[in-house]
Amino acid sequence: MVKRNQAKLIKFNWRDIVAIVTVVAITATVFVWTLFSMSSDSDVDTYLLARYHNDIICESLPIRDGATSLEYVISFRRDLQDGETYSNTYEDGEVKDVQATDLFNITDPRQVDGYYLIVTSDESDTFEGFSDLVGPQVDVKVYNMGFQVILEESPENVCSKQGFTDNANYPVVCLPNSMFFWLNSSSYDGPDA
Amino acid sequence: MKIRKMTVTAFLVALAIIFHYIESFIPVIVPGFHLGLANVISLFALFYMGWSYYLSVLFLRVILVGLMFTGFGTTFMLSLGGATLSCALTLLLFFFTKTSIYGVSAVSAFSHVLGQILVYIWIVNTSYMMIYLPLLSVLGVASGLILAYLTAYIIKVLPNFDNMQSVRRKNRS
Repeated sequence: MVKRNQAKLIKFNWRDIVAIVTVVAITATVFVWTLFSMSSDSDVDTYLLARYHNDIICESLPIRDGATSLEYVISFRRDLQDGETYSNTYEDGEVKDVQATDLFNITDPRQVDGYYLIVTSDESDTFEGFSDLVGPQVDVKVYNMGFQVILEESPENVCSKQGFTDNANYPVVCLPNSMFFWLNSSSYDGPDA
Repeated sequence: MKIRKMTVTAFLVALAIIFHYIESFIPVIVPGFHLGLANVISLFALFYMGWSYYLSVLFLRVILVGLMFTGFGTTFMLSLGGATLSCALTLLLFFFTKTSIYGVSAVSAFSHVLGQILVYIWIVNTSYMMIYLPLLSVLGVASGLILAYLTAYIIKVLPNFDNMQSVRRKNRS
């Protein structure tokens, strides 16, 4: 136990500097460690994961076929209301009408290359009718070993502005639409680990 | 002595809750960040009166604020986690080093933020909250230093706590 003198205790001394520097050092270390442990480049075992509310829509959509990147758009859509129309974010390719449950089963790269997957809300077990999707659609484009949210209807368009990402384990979150995308690498346990 | 201690503690807790209430009118720049005006009272209790006053003021404030304003939900858990870690580090520094009020206040603010983030990570199971630590802790340390300056000023103006009774009697006669 240190013998104390109140007058001395309210004067700044060198121990305070040590304390503050320690705190700043701990903060910097934790920050750098978090940054490095979070992001890693996409590798062979990287797949696209999408989540709507607490349901994982797909956890292993392929983004590459061997050394070449796949290129496709997934469009998550709900039923149209009065005066709404879907936007075309794709220019060519065959438009598929698949269910969310089908999306979950795709693991072979050849099943998606060159195609556009359109997910509708009908008869879907995992989506519960898209009741909370703000806009009529959220479009995600996979290209160049990464992905980008190219269209979403939300007040701030945060994840469109976030742009392209090919970092594994770095999430893209669209809060108004309750959607969550990220590149899932098998060498990492995921955000809920 | 016991009644005096109880009265002083109740007075300080009431002040701390009022400060907490006043603070809710101050707009926050960064979400999740608070100036921590109520921490002035805790620091004052620790450095002017002693550790037992500090402990009771800190935890009674957390519990009473939960009872009166926020309820015993996530906010209360965050508050309690921050207060516990902050209290542990503060008492360690206070008893085993000669760190002055400035260092103690800065470390207390930092550990409060850290405790809150750890509890938040435990609640939502997402370690990404750690990315928020640098911003919050830099702001926290800055506000901690300002609050320490204010508290040191108050302590400087007041007479010694143990002599308070005699000072009062002398003035009256």
